[in-house]
Amino acid sequence: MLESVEQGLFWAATALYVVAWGWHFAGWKRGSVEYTGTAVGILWAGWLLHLGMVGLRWYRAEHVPMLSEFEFVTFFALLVFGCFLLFAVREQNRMLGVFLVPVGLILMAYAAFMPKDIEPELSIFKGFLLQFHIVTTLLGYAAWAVTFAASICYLYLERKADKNPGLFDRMAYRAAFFAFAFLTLGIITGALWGDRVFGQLWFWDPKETWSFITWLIFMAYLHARYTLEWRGRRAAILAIVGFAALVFTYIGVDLLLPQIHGVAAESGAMPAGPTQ
Amino acid sequence: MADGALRRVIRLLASLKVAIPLLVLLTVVTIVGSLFPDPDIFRSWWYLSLLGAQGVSLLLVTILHIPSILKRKGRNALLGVIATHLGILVIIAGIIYGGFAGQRHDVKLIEGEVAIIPGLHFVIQLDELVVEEYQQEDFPRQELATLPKKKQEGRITVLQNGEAVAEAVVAPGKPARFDGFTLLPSISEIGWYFELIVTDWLDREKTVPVRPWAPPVLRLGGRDVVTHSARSGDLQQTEMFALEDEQLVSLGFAGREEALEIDKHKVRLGTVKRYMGMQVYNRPQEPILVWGSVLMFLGLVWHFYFRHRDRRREGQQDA
Repeated sequence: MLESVEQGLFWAATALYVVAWGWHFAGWKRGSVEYTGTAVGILWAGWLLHLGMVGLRWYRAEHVPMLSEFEFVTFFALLVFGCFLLFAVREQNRMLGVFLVPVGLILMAYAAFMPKDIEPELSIFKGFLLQFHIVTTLLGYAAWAVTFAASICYLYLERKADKNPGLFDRMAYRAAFFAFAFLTLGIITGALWGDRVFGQLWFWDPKETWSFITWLIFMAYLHARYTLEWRGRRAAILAIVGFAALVFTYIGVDLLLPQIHGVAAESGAMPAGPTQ
Repeated sequence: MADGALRRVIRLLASLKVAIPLLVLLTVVTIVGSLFPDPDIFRSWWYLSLLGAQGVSLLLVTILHIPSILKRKGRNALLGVIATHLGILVIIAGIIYGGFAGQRHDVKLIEGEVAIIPGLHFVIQLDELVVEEYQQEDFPRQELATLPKKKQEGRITVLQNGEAVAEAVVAPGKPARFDGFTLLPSISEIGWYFELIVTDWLDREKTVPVRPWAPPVLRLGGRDVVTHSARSGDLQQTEMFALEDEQLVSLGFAGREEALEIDKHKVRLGTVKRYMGMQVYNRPQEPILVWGSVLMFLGLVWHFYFRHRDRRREGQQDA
């Protein structure tokens, strides 16, 4: 019964996200603030259903819902949409949704094809440190998705010779700061958890190495802006490179490079996904 | 003359013309390194040197930019920048120091026996190892052999000069600490230590210990024979193999009651005990890494919070 409710919430949230993207797109094409306002409203409704689904999963699984691949990806999507709502409300700008909502939608579509069984929590997963690592890392990734989408918006408006694309440039920078701080915290807590369970802070397995590479690119972006005074186009391109590194860390490494995270994930000794 | 050269090197490292290419080089080298299956590349002297050079360059660039950051972005931003970069430097120093300091030993603990670790002033006795396995219905899509144990709790005693000085219950993720050393059980190294009782055609009996991490090769009749793991559960037995042309050829199973006959020798299973691997290490760089991380993160938060607040007060926008 509860399983069906959970599934229903998942599909209802996904459907609302799709509709919200349609409204965003229509609002953007027609230049209508009302359309985009409605889109954000629909997105809020979808996000609340999504939150309900994650809460129900937590109740059913009796452990934090971030351990199986399905739980992990849906939780990541929840954070991506959450970051969007945070930035969309704060910035009073809704064009961001046209480019950011698809990132969350791809994650929801990815989750839809995954097995949704609930598995028991392995004893090594118990404890606050691993959960903190997953949440902070995913918050870092979700915030960089905002940087990415804002940079795309900037490049688009710049091509259209818009008078004021600077809003997106500043939004990208602010989100990048969040992303860098959270990814830093995520890498540190992941190292501490690995040390506690495997006896080593850092293995240099490809997932860890690529997290470090992503972190270096995020750092380069912040330094380029801060010290070299990079703005606009050049910063936006570097942000897109950072997002590509993030996607490779998250998916590419699993597919292309053998690693401890992957083996452990397959065996259940570690959850699937990035830098866990 | 030497002073002038040193000054030139410092000026060079402190310039963004070097710092940025160094960062790009570090990123590219790390990307290339990730393509190799052996991560030893990241522990090589030249990679650590590159990391060190990046750290020194970061420090010098930050010092050089202090006046301009103070002028353009204010005191709070400067404090954040200094704390963040100092944190990164402390971490890099900790990593480099860790390359030379500390010690690590991998030991195998057999239930009821004492493990001596050369170079350490204590020995460890595994009093009891309690193991519980997952059932297939818990993880229907996984191979149980690849999963960690549902429960893996070892009761250990640390002895010095023959006297018990500490007792602890350890599990993966729950290490014990003794005299600056961490005692952490391994997740994957767990199994059965056992003995084989070999009786020859003259009825002479010999006991051969089999440590699965270093299995012995027995010469029985004209054959080289090996075994490496015992089956657990009610039916305890071990599979014996003949080494023929570097191939393993199964000869059958030797059990407790049922002996396996190999070239006029009878092989039975003797004592069977659990064993587990354990890492014993001390890492003097650990507090350096933790404090470096704390400093870096606090610097980031400080910078972001106060810079944002200061800019708002000034009615300016970020970036």
